[in-house]
Formats: sequence, structure tokens, C-alpha cells
Amino acid sequence: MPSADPMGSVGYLIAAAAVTLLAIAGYALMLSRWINDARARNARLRDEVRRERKG
Amino acid sequence: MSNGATARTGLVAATLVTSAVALAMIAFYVPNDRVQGVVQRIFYFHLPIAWIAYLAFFVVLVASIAYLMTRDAKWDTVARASVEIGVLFTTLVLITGSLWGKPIWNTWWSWDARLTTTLVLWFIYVGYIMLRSYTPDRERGARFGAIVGIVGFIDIPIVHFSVQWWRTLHPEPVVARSNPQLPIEMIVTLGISLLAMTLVYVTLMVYRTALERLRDENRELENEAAWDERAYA
Repeated sequence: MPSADPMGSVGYLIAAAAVTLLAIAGYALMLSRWINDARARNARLRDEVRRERKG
Repeated sequence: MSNGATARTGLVAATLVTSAVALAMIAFYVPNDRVQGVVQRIFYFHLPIAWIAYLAFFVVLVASIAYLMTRDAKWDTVARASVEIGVLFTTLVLITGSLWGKPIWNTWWSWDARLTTTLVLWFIYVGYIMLRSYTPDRERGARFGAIVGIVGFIDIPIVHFSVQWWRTLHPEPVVARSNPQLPIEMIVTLGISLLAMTLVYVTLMVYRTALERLRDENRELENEAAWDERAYA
């Protein structure tokens, strides 16, 4: 049962929406950054292996 | 653009559009609950997030069994990716539940059966992530992880049926029953929210597994570079 003034609880709804969106968007951005870092590292390592074999 | 890249872009676009529609419906379309008022709308976040947590850990269960049967690293990649996303969504279940509990129960937390078993679920899979981080040997880590992924899933039916097995504060199911007690606007909004959250999960899984594959390539290249260094020294 409602404790008090259920119509005045919009702040809780906004907080729930904000936390959900920020967490998912934040994780997606971190994933995108990690993928870019891993790609750059891959390219650097491939280059290193190629140079090592040529030299 | 390759076919894979086009498919990924399409998936991201579908996820964003469906999520925007779900948010608009939660904000403007769905009616207020007569008893709980506006705060009941948290349900349209909370329930789809809980569904994704269940789905993510079910995927971990399937991938873990497949890994132990085949020893194919691709199943371990799927399990590892799904655990991380499952933990994110379980964290959100606990937070959104708490944000609903404060105005309705007048407390942020209660050691109620549903809440406690969900917290246990969170600890089990955080434990999985820690176990993987502290086991440098890939094959061993994958084997240990698969066992935790299978045993940990036992908590899911306990979480789900806790509201029926014990007397709890948490509401009983209102949709997953033979005669749902919700008006049609609420059922449609919930359906769109579930679809949006499922697309979010699929999108995150696609990118998280891609990251795991790139990291595997990194490890192979590092080994090759180290081998070459020794060979040409």
C-alpha cells in the first residue's frame, strides 16, 4: 500500500529512468572504447610481428 | 560497408528506436496506477531489466554446458560476455526495485525473500567475474567459470518462485499468470519495454563478444611476437 502522496513520487521514477539509461549508455560507451583500444593494439602487434619477420 | 557491419548498424538503430518508443510510452501513453500513482511506472523498467538478467544467466548456463561438452572457446566467450551484462542488469534490478520500494514500502531495502535471493544472485555472478579475473590460464578459468555458471543458475528459480514459496513484501506476478490483471495500455507498454530491453541485450552481446574475440587475437599476436623475438634473437 502507498505510504504517502503517491502522486508526488515522480522523482523516484525519474531517478529509476536516469540510472537505467546512464548505466546502459555508460557500459555501451566503455565497450566501444575497449573495442577501439583492442583494434589499435591488434594493428600495432601485427605491425610488430611483420617488422620482426622482415628484419 | 560489410554485411556484418550493416547488420550491426541496423541492430543499433532498431534498439535506439524501440527504446525511444518505450520511453515515450512510459512517459505519455500508459495511465497512472490507481493505488501507486506515477511511481508504478518504474515497473516498466524494473520488470524488463529483471527479464534480461534471467535471460543473460540462462545464456550463461547454456554456453557453460556447451563449453564443458565441446571445450570450444567460443562458448566460453559467450558465457563471459553474458555474465558481465547479467551483472549490470541485476545491479539495475536492485537499484530500480529500491527506488520503487522507498515511496511504496517506506524503506530502501528489506531482507525480504525476493530481494535477498536477488542479492545472492548478484554475488554469485560477481564471484564468477572475480574468478575469471584471478585465473590467468584461459582454459582453467573457462572450466571453473562454466561450473559456476551452471551451479549459479540454481538461484534463478529460487528468485522467481520466492514470492510464492515464502510470505514476502514483493508483489506476486501480475502478468505471468493465466488471467493478467492489467489494462491493455499497460500490457502493450510492458511488451514494448520488454522488446526494447531484449534488443539492448542482443546489441550489447554482439559488441561484448566482438571485444572478447579481439582480446583473444591480441593474446595470440602477443605470443607470436614473443616467439619471433626469441627465434630472431
